[in-house]
Amino acid sequence: MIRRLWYMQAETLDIHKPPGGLLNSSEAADDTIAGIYAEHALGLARLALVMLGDRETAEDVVQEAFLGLHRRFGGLRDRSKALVYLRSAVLNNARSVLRRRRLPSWFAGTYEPPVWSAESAALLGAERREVMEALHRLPRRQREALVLRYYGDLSEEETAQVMGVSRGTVKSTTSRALDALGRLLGDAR
Amino acid sequence: MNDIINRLRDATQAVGETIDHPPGLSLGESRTRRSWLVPVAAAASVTVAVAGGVAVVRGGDGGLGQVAAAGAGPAAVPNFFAEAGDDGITIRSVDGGSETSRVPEPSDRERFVSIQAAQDNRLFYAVSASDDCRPRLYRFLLDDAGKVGSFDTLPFAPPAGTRPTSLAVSGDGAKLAYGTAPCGREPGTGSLVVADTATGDSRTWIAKDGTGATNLSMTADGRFVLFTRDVVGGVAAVAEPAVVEPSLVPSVEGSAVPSSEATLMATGAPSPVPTMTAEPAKPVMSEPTESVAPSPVPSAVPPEVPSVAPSAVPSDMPTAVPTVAPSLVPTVEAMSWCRFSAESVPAVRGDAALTTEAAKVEPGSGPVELKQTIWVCPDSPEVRLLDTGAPGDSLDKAATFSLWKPGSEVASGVLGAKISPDGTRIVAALGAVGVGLDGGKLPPGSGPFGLAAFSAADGGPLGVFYREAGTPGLRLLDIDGTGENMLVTRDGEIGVVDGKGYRTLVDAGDALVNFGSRIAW
Repeated sequence: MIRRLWYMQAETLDIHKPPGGLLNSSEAADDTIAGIYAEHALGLARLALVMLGDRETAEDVVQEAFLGLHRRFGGLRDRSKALVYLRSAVLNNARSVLRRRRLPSWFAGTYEPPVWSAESAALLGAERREVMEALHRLPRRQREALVLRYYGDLSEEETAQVMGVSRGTVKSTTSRALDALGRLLGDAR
Repeated sequence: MNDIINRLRDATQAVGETIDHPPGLSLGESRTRRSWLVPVAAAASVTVAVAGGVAVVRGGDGGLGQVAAAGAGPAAVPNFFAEAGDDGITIRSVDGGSETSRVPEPSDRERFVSIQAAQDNRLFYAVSASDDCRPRLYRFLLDDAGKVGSFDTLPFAPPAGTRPTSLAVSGDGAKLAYGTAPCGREPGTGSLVVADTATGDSRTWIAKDGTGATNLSMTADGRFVLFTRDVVGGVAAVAEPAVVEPSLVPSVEGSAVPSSEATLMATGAPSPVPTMTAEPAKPVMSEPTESVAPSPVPSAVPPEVPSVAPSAVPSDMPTAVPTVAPSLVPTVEAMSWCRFSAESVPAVRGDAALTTEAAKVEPGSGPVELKQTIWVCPDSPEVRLLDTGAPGDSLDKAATFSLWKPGSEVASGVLGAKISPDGTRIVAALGAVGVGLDGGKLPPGSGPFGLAAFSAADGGPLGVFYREAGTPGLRLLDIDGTGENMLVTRDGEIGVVDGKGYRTLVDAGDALVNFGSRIAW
């Protein structure tokens, strides 16, 4: 049975973790991060999905945010600050992804259509699709403010921290964003 | 206004809830390693103008006239995949993996070595190698139920005295590309051949150093062929699977393991991972008795090793070994057995040093396990892209892209690279494939793996479109005619990566098997 199978070259390596595996990190920090992860990863992944539309990338973005937290953990012992950091990182990373998608030939045909699109397997219905499409036509800051405030249920203060702007800016941005969203949805009817 | 807010909440919550469990966490991916895997924003300007058909120059051993020139239909999402294995050709349904049809081997002296489908997933070609070094080409059609309809031998064939390495087909099935290696003990050089399936006309490219081409894939229009070289230097790697690093594993089972492994490799003992032979010349199953050149690596090679890779090296290739090996193989190089080019060694050495350190830090933290993971050598990170529309017959003219950059500090590598049907992207599986010796399964937590795209214009990274961590690595087998469904193998399974992620098609059982160009859709 085996006789004519041909094999990739293989070798034992003297490592108990694969190349590039976790080395020398402080286990305490890892435990804390793991705790934060257990509590918030799903929410953050959903936040990223709302911003990006495709799950694969959303998960990458969250992973990336936690890697950033891992790197900076020394200065971020406060769990609440960690969460602010993570949310900001998710928004920032999502922003970079969206920028890249505008480049020509970015994965033509291989990255998933947004979960709210008609082609997606996740059937959300026309009405929700309309909302999501309108949301994604808003300027970036308006979109972020709306999502943090009304999807994330963050207060104006929390939203301000995550976005790195003042509370007043959040208030005015949110208000303009709701107007714009209302117009877009009105227009679409 | 509240209505808007309510609608917004409802829509975003519905979107959010399409994710119902958190992604896996793998902090181990941090550092620069990661940055390489992350999509690169800059320089994504890919515009390979894939022009129309290219006339195939008359030559080779074609000219045998029409061959029931049934062209393939339009590109379709695959319903079937085919495997050319020990039992001939097996057709399986993508839906459930059940076998729908089987074609026995032509004879006990001839076997199918590579198979490929046209874009419609119905028209298939296969190429065989035979003990008398007279390879042949075959064509068959599948019906709606996946049954093999007409099965024909093409009236033209690869040159006698060669052994095909890999087969690729254009979208409409009108063109074939295959690599050849010298067969048996006859002298010769490797080559890449493109043939017109209607006329048999062919055109041959030869490399100056005589190395051939393998791991072929072709754009839908048949103009570009992506391949890897049958690297001569790769043969050097074969010689030292012995970099078992005895120094790093001083104590427990230290003595037993390397030798048992060598035995494993040498005999193909009853183990899920029976023959960890080196890969460089992959389709070599046709010459199971050939032995590798005696290793030029003085130190780390136990005497069993030369017999370790009985099937991997055509006898006519090892000439280059003595010169290449010493420079490529520092004895404590963890990954030096792989086909990384010489300049990659420092980065790899850094990694090796780290792991050495780790081993020292935690002595006795399960060194038994240490030895139980087998790492599969990746392919050469160098891929070649041949424009068959350009003049000349030199394989050296093909553009060379290195999908692995020395600065990336990635100790893993490329596990299969194919060109997309539209010719704009090179899709490659990245990572390291490991298989635990115990049970043939890899322990979880084994680093990031993924499918990434590279520009076919300059080889620059475009980004990772599928990633997983904590699972055994993926090897890319084939891309379908639509360019959106990747046939992969992972941990003994054959599966697909599409827009929805990874899905198992069939559990083949044998981990570590390189399905190379023997499974296709």
